[in-house]
Amino acid sequence: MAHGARAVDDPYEFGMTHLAQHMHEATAQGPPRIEIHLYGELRSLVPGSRPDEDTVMWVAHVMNETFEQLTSRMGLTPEQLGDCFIDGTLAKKSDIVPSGARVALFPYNMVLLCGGQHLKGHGYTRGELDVDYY
Amino acid sequence: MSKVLRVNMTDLTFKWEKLKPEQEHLAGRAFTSHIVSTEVDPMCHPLRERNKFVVSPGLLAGTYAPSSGRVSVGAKSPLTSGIKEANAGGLTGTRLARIGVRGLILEGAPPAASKDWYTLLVGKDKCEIVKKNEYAGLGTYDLIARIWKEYPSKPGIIGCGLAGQRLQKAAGVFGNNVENTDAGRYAGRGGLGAVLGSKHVVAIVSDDTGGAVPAAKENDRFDAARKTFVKSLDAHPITGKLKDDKGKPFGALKNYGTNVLQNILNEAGGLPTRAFHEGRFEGAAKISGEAVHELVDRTRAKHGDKAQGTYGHACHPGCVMACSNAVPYEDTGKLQVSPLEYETVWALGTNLGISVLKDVAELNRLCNDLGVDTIETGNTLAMLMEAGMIKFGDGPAAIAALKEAYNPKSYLGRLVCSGASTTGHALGVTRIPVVKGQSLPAYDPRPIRGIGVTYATNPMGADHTSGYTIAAEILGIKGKVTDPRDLKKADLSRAFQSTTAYLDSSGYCLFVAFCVLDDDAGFKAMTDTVDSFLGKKIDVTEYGTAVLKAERGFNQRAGFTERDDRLPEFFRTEKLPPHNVTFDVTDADIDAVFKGF
Ligand code: SF4
Repeated sequence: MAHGARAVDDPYEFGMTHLAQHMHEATAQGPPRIEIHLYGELRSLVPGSRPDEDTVMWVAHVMNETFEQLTSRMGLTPEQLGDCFIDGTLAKKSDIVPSGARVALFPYNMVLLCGGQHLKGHGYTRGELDVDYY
Repeated sequence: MSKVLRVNMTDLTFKWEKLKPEQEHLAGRAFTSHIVSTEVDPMCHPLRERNKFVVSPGLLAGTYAPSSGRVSVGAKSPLTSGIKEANAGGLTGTRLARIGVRGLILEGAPPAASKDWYTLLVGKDKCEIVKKNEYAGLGTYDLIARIWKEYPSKPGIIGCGLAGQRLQKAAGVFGNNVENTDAGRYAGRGGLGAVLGSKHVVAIVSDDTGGAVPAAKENDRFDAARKTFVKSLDAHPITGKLKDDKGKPFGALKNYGTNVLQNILNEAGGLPTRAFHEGRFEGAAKISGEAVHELVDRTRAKHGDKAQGTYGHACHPGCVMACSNAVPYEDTGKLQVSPLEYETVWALGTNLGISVLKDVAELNRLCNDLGVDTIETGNTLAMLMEAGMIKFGDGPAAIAALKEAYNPKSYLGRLVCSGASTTGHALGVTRIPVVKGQSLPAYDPRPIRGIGVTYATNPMGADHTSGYTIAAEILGIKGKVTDPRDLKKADLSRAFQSTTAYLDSSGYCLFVAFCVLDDDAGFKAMTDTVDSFLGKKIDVTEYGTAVLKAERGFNQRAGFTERDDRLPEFFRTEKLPPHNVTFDVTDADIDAVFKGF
């Protein structure tokens, strides 16, 4: 996997605004990236976003970075997050985020309702649980 | 003192009955399923005189317990041919409970040749069976407006629309909302509107003048518990208040309604798209709960006081979670439909590949007006698309097809109100997403297999609410399942189905679960309200299991076997992107859910 120094170093230097601006460059070819879909109040990380459209931000991929590290790099705390996904699977703090992943970040007040509670137990909305159950 | 009203539609008589000792603690679903399973011949034709239509407010309906005013209806279902219960908000639960009506049983039917239609007026210690032919054939928006004009006491109304009057299998039981602006409070599933139509009853009107708030046996304990419960619900980020201290959106249900799920299930890859062909919909954001929230804000800014759109709307008096909404027309700000909730947006939007919010809301309005279940009708329209008669994504064509239903002579109109199974078979479709004849709702069972087990095994046909996934920890069941696609689902599915049956009987909305899931004090407060109301300790699982046993027993006597507890074949053979998985829970695992029942 090709990782330039920029892909490793830059992300930690980005403030939110820089990250948002970075999104606009992201479709161009370059170092490996992660596609982040934002919802609810987290959409504000991308200026000009609308709640009735997809809000997508691309950030540089960091080798062996966990989900917790990724969100912390974005300036987000676990308390701000609801149910989140990496490539359609509920994200846990320790999950490694692969290059090219689609990551979905929902704020603390957006979680699975009926039919989906079994996907919970990811350590965000209810930290003490160690089970994924219905 | 609660009592039962028994109405005979063959000779147009009624009588009041005392609750039997074994019925004292039964209400809502427990009551309707008790009556259907003990009084209805499981082999009877569901649309003839030997079936019964039962109404029962939840146990706590009419009290000040929060979000507890749901009403259940039950009968043998013309859609599944098994037992059915469906519940809804609206005014009827509260009105009936305050005049002491625990149950209303409609039996018999006018002679086959009869062209007369009736309305039932139920008040404190009184009942009238009134011939009202002028109410038949109306759209439900007109119907409820006329009833409130005629009865200024602002009564609760439930009834059947055109589809129910024509005995069609997708017919739901409508209910008026608190403002009487929409008949969108549906006990939609199972074709129960057609059972009401078979009794020639267009509307049941309940007036609580002279009534009283039902009293708990242990009043102080009840009061303390309900207050604790309100606090728990208010503080939770799902069920809580509209805004936080900084004025930002807080409670998810109040802000985005159940349709907050549209984007979440989309990201989870479990959002059934275009007739269960894919698990992600590229247009999800456009029809999401966030999109509705934004539309409401936009029309408020544009139309000021004239704007009728809202979120954080309560479906019945006393709901503190208020997940309902009213969707406005963008150009006028006037009401288009209320509510527009997740299952409906999925059925009439995602499932049809339609991402124009206004078209989805219009389809919902038409369903409400015609008196059909949105989930069943969305799946039925999907059969037209699957058969190539309408293109996926063509909102105007779907609207035109549904409008055909106003024409009693239109074959297409009859078909779109007949349910996905009938329509799919008529059109030669081999991918028909039904269990026991009832359409699947908005969670694909391939990546979310636990809900698939519930669809397969619950006595009501494919129904997400029957096995509503109350968190396992509430029931004290813990384990080491780490993958949602794990296959050992039997114990949990059964436990959830039992707990759901308890909640469906209590009058509480299922959504209290989000709070009681996360807050032990909230859970205790909830069970305390029930126990103190009855003056006796109720075991949640035992109570729910008894309800399920009665329901499964009815179905067995109606000829159902384990072979009916199966998902359609294509879920086992077609992989669903993006996870590219099939439903591969074994038959033995599915059958384990109700082994020994
Ligand atoms: S949470 Fe929603 S569905 Fe439940 S009772 Fe309240 S308004 Fe009705």
